Amino acid sequence: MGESITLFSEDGKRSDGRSLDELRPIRIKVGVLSNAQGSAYIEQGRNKIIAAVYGPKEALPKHISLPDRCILRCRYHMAPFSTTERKSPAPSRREIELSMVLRNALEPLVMTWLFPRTVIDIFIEVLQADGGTRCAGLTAAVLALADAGIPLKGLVAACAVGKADGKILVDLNDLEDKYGEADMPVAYNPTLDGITLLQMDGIMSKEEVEQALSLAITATQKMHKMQVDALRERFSVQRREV
Amino acid sequence: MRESPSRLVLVGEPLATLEEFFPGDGTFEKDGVIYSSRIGRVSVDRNRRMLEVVELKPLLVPKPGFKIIGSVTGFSSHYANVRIFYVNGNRLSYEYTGLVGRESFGRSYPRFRTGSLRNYVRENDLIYGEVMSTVNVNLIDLSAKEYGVVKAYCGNCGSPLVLFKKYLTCPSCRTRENRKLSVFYNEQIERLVARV
Repeated sequence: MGESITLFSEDGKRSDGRSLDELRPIRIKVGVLSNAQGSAYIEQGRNKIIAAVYGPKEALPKHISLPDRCILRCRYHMAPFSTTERKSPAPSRREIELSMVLRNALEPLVMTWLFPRTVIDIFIEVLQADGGTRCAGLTAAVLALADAGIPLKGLVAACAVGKADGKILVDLNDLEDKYGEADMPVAYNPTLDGITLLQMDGIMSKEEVEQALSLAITATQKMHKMQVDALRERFSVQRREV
Repeated sequence: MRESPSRLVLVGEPLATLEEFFPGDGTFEKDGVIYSSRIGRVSVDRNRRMLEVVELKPLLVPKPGFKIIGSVTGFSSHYANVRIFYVNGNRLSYEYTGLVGRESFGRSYPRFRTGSLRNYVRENDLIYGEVMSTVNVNLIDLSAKEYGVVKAYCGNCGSPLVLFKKYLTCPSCRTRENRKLSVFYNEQIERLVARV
């Protein structure tokens, strides 16, 4: 327990040289997999995540199907090579829980009632992890759903905010996530002006939560613009090909 | 009057207000504003004052009125199970199941003396039909003359049956069988798909 981690440099910058409200460099590409119905790839700092969508397809076995809407099945998985030490490829407790959390975050977005008795499979594969993978995975999954042509109530972008050394930070990296005081992933839908994911780990005062939430919404709005640009690039390229 | 699809819109893009149009397919409404729910092109029906977004990537899910091609996989009580693999001329990535029952044949049922469903369709038959209903199950309509069995196999030896003097006859074992035939019987599946 004697190790000392410095999260901020003397000039007040974060360990990776960012300011407090600065996002990591983000690169988004839509339609990266030809076999999946919809797919997207995101690089957020050192995070590398790919998302794929299959469906809507018939729900099998039949007894799992719902007569009035489709089922969303989400699988969040970290590749064995995604961390510095090999991770077991078997789904861990954390991965199973995050799969459920992401499914719950996506469910208000997808117009499930349009496809009764069907299932939509969403796969989120973390190729390289550096903190905030659930948020980056969610951002990619939404784009994969849009790419698959599934009707959505807007695009959701997600970003983690947190607290370290008493300061509120945006888009936490692995170091800040582990050694910070609090971590709060937020997914925000600018179209509906609603939050579809809000979790918190650690301790923050009411004022700090409010400040963090407003920073998160500003950050997700920036990410939403990147999502729109990525989709526009994908479909303008497709149009030229046609 | 329907205007042809124009500009490309993305998910969540505001299109118009409720005072101007009704939200149609591919749109949703929130606080009086109509938004696009999928990536596509805006289509305006001025007569119905309807705004729609025509999808760029059609989702192939069976809907009433869609024409299908499938094969009969088996029978369960009063219905024949059908594996649907073509919808509106497009090959499905994921196959759907449908049902053929006595209601699929309309007023013509029972057409044959015994009235058994096996006189209309049998296992492994290739059928061409229309989705009648998607409530609870995908029920397939085979009542029109263009709908019905387009390829049948002998129940005795499995050889393809040929149409000989209005009867389906097996060229190998000379068995004669009954089916609800389509006018396109024995047509190549590629030509049938092109017809759809």
